[in-house]
Amino acid sequence: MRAALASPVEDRASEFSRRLDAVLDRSFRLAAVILHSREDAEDAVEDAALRAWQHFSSLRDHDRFDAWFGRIVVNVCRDRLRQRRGRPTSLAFDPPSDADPIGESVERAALHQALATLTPEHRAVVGLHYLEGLTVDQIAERVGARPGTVKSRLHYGVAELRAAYEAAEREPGGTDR
Amino acid sequence: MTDERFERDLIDALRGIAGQEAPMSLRYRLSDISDRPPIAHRLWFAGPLRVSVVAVVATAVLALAILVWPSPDVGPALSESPSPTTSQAASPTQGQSPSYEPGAEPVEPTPVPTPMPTTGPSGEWTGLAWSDPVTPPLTVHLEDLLPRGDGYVAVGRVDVGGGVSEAAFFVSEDGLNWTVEDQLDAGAGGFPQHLVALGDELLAFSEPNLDALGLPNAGEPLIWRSTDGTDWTPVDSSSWRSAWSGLWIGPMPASWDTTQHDPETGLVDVASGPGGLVAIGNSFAEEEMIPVVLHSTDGRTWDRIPLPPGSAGASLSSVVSRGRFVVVGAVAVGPDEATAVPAAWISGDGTTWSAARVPTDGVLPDGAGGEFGPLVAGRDGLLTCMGWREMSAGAHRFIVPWTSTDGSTWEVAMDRDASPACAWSAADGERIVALGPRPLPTGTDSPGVTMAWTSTDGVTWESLSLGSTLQDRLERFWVVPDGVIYAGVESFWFGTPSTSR
Repeated sequence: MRAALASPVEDRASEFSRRLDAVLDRSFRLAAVILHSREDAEDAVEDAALRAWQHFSSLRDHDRFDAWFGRIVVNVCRDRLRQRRGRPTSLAFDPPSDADPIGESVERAALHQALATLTPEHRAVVGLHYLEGLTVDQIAERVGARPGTVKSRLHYGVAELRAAYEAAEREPGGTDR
Repeated sequence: MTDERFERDLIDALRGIAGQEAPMSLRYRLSDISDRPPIAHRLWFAGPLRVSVVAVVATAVLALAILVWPSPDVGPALSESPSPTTSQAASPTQGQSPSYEPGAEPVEPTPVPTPMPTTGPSGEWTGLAWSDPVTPPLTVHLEDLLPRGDGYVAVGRVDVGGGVSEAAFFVSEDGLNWTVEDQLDAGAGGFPQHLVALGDELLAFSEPNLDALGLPNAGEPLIWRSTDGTDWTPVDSSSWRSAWSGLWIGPMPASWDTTQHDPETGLVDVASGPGGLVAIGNSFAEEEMIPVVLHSTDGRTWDRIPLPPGSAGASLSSVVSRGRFVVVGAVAVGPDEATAVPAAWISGDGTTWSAARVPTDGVLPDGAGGEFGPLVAGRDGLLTCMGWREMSAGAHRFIVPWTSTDGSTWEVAMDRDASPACAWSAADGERIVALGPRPLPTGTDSPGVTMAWTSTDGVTWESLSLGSTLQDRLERFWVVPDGVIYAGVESFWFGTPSTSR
């Protein structure tokens, strides 16, 4: 409910903050999966939030904030990936800080490695599907691709991950050994 | 393997990357977002009257800023570097035999003419005064630009929704206010990213078609031509299509260790110089990279040119023309990226290439590979930076500048701080400009520009005084004869130089 004495600007800022807060966790996860870096994801989500705020007045249906902001996050990630391509790439990769190679099974370690080598667009659809539980149509809207393309990426991405997983199972220490 | 166990482990792995919640540091950074006033797009596509008003206001604000704003203290930042302004920085490789001798000997240096006459202010630059920002619509992105006549021509893209971009061609009189002269659906989201001039003609090139995340999928790059920067037509070149057919264009397969660097396939860069145009790119085979070097005298008929023996597994990253063509990248790039060795090639006309001397003895630690990144050329020399990650030491990263007077022999300065040489840099063939602060070790950048330097050779740097701090995260910037055009995440800015005379 709006505060009775709040100015329109305060209303807008308050609503923006509330809506941003509601989507922040999953937006960060999406950026982190696409960029494969939490540090880059922080920068990307901050950029996206600034863009969103500066264009918030152009969003007619505020109930669509989630999808709208998700699209901005994807676009910002796209720009950052393209920036990476023009730089010495040793600066671009950050290993996942939570990876615990000692405590991991061989298969999970293989999945970590396979996710790192998966292309960002495949990581995005895999992440949105398995981490966020989105349907193919919802992912298509989020990343701006056709549902058929999303299905294909999901199939290809999961196939790559499965192959790495199965190979790890056959290694010493794997569960199939 | 059960599906259930696979999915559980996959979700755990994804959570390992992303975590569950946004970190508190991000929440803190966002805490003042809505305190920042929304910016109206009133200046975009401004007419002449509005431009005049903007110019008057900008001038007044700038004058006021100069009067009241404390000068940024750029001195200490420079003095923190070991000796960034001395051209005698010791090179550990001097007098040593190059560890990499890929076949042909470098050709003897030939006199290098000044590549680009400038029409900007005479004298050396001593400072930059930023204009007021002009904020374009969120959907507009400039990819490359050139001075043309009394103004500028740019190419890029306009996002039209649904994650789809259309090719767009722009002109501007002042480098700040741009108008879209042409916009078209080039198919699969292709849009021009490189702009070169060849005689009276402008040529724009797309990289391989990009998907919604901006990564290459498939298809040959596209070419457009124009004589005035406003009317653009596609170039239908069978030799161009043929040159790219059958090559791998797309993300590297999972079997490649792309953690140290992720080679870019397809068209990578284009330069115009003596003898026509040189386009470079990459493809790959199962065990190594395959370099692509194309030459054309007119932009319509293209020939694939081989690199000299010893260039196996070459990955190309940048080409410039400075009296001759110079290409940088790496050789021996294979599925294990740690094998990569930085390399460069030179050519007088784009049709015959020889390997440059890149002595790397003692430069790369055991177990590490490296490659040259973007290449820029000033009046007196060329600059590139090499980055690598020392695998055995975990996340330690290194980046060092390499310079060359003519492209045929390169020197590394291991004891020279990477700033400013390996901060964000751009050049127009006359001067190199670097903007800082330097990229942080995490791979991220501090927002905005608080320091700037200029150099004509990449070795000796002079700091530029800044009238104000530019607070807008960089997307890209260009050096033009009369200043610097800065495309930030939010706005465009123009840096007008002050000179020594």
